[in-house]
Amino acid sequence: MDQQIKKFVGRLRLWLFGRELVQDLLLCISAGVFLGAVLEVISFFVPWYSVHYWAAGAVSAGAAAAFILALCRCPSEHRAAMILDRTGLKERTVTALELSGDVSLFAELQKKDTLEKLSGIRLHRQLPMGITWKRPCLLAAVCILFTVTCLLPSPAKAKAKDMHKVEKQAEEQIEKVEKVRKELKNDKQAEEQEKEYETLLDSIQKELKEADSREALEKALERAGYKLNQAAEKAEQKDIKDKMSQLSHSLNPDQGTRADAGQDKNGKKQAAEKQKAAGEAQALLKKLEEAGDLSNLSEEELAAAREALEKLANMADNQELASSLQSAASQIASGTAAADDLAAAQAAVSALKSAAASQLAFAGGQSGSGNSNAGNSGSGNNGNSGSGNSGNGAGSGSGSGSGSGNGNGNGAGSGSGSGNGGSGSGTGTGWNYGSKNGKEKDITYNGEMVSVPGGTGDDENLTGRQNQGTSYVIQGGDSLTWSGNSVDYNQVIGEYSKQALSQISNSDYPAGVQDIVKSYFEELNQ
Amino acid sequence: MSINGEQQLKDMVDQINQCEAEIGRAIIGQKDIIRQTILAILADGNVLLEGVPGLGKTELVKAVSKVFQMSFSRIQFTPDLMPADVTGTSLILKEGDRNVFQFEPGPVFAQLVLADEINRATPKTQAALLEAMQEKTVTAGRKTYELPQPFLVLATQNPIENEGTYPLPEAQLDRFLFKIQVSFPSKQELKEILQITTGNERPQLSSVIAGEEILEMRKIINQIPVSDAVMDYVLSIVVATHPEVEGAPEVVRRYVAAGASPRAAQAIIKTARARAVMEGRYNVAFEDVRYVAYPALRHRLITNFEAIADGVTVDRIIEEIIRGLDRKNV
Repeated sequence: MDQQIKKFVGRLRLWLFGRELVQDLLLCISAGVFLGAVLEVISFFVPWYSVHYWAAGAVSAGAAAAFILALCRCPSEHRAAMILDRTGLKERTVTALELSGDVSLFAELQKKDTLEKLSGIRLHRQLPMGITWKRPCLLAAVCILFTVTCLLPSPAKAKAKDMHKVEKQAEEQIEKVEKVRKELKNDKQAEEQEKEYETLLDSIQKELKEADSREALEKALERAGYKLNQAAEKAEQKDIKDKMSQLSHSLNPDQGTRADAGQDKNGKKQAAEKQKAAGEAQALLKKLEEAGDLSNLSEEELAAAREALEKLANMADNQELASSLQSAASQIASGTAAADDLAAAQAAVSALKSAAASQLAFAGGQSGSGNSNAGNSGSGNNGNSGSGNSGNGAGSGSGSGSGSGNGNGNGAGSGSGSGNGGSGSGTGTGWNYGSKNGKEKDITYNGEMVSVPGGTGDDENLTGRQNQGTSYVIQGGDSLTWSGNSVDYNQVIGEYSKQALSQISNSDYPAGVQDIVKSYFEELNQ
Repeated sequence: MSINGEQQLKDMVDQINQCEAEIGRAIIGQKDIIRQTILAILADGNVLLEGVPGLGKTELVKAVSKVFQMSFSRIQFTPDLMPADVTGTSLILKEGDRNVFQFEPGPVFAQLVLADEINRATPKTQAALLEAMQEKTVTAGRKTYELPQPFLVLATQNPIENEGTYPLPEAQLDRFLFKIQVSFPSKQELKEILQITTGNERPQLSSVIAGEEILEMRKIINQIPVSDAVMDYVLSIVVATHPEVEGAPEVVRRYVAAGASPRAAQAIIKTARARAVMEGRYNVAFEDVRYVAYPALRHRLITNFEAIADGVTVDRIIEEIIRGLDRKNV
């Protein structure tokens, strides 16, 4: 009988726990959902991406609290018996529980009497769940409120989503940096500069972590790319160089093109060499043409021409041109080259030279666009120069805008700037080349030369009469001097920096690029 | 009577119920009075019946003595009543050549003693009943005489006539298990009383239980289990009657001068057990305690002047105590 009574009381406890749980769940989940709705409302005004998770957490916490509460309030056997006795059992159950183990006559009679009474008990009737309409209604109401607050869009929510994406991106990039850091750690070659790389990667990671907006992330990535490129350039080991470049490229594919700019330096060099070789070859061919007959030339001269053409053929990327030059070289060597052959060779050399010039222009343009627009001053400085070769520069601009033109002109030193330097669309790199080349230009002007720094080159500046005599208008852009003249670096750098910074801040360049330009000029000024 | 099983216990309950019904034939209405009196008898206690004259107090005692088949004696308490008039006295009798004292038992030597208007006797005479009520013995001279068993005193007192009365001292009041207030019958009950008492025919009561059986019943009743919860409830009630105890109800602190003695708790438990049996249960319930708490505590709570001034009765104080405890338990 004792077991039966205890079993019944156990069932009773479970029932009471369930009853409490249902009641508490209704209440606590309502509270949790309401809290979730409040959080959702907050997310209308404050960008908070994870608000849904927090809201779900609030509901879960409510459910957990209900469970814990119900568990805590789960009555003991004695208490459960007392609760049941209140339904009309008149303390039979609690007495029977206390008499457990007592085998006296009255104890047995009492337990028997209790069991008889318990057999007629239907828990769901005697102790109903007691769920009133209030709690379910409350829950339904807060659920509706929550759903509405969830579904309503708001700028803050959109911003939060965007910020989350930024965070994710930043995390991905940080992981990439971390991966490289580990690789470098394991790389014995990098041991010497480990601390340096560590600092670099730390600073990159820190910047990425601190990025709290898309703009900031882009900026950080650009800066990271720049730093990594610089590190790659400085790195002595090829492996490390590659890793840095790859990381730079993976962090900022756009920025990665700047890394290529470094490589373009080499290409530029090659192109310049090619151009130089072509010039030499042209001169030799001209000499051959002027000689009319190859027999008039010495063996050394023929050998030089052959060598020059062969060298050029080796340099040529175009197979057709290469074979044409090779053929010309062998004809010259054999002394069988006719005037037509020499003309063809001359054309091939010109084409090669043109290609080299294009390559230079492209490289210059790329580096210009990749860096900053500080080149505007440089291009302006000697944009006037070498108008004769402007066709090369313009043609090889690869459509990348004024920067490429300037770069080309300046880089080639053949005056390809075509006077658009005033456009101010060049870059820092271009500026450097420009100023250098500008000084190298040697153009003799006849007539009156007027330089109007910053002016438009209007005729009204001329003192002579219009359409009479020879005059040159040098559209000097923002330059402080003109071609052929040299000015002390310290005198111009301040003004150039100022102009460059002013221009870049008024342009649509990405913030990262602006930072790079600014830092570049700051370094120059130091 | 011995209990061998459930059936025998049921038979006992039936007998008690028959007693109740039989007494009810003579005493119209007053069901609670009858029941409480039976409870006191079964719980081995004395009863103080309080009520205005003419409510059938003496009739009740007579009916009880008849139904329970107990020897009955009546003592009319008056101011000149002496203790010896109650307990008995030693008489000098000639026995051969010498004179000897021989104890002549007084009216207290009966199984059921009716102490009518007990508050009219002097405290000295009232005190003569103390030993009989508590110890069930009478001491005369150097000899102690046992009273016949079962023994109980049913005393009556008039609450409205205070002149020439001697209110019972607390010590003596405490000896009474119950103080039962006999209330005025309803109109219907009064009509029935008139019909019975004004005619020639009086209901003839028959004995249902012999006095010895009562002793057996008492033994059985004392075995009825009381759960800890119920015991705690009783103790809580008794403790709550003490104004000096921390956590005592406001009504107690304000109106009670002295709380109930441990005898109150004993009285409650004993009578609650008896009630459980009368209800056909094998355990004591809270409701049994609530039922017996009033007559068991009524005469044990001493109220102060403020209670009298405010018209606060002891019953109201008890009610407040019980209500407060029930609220806590829920």
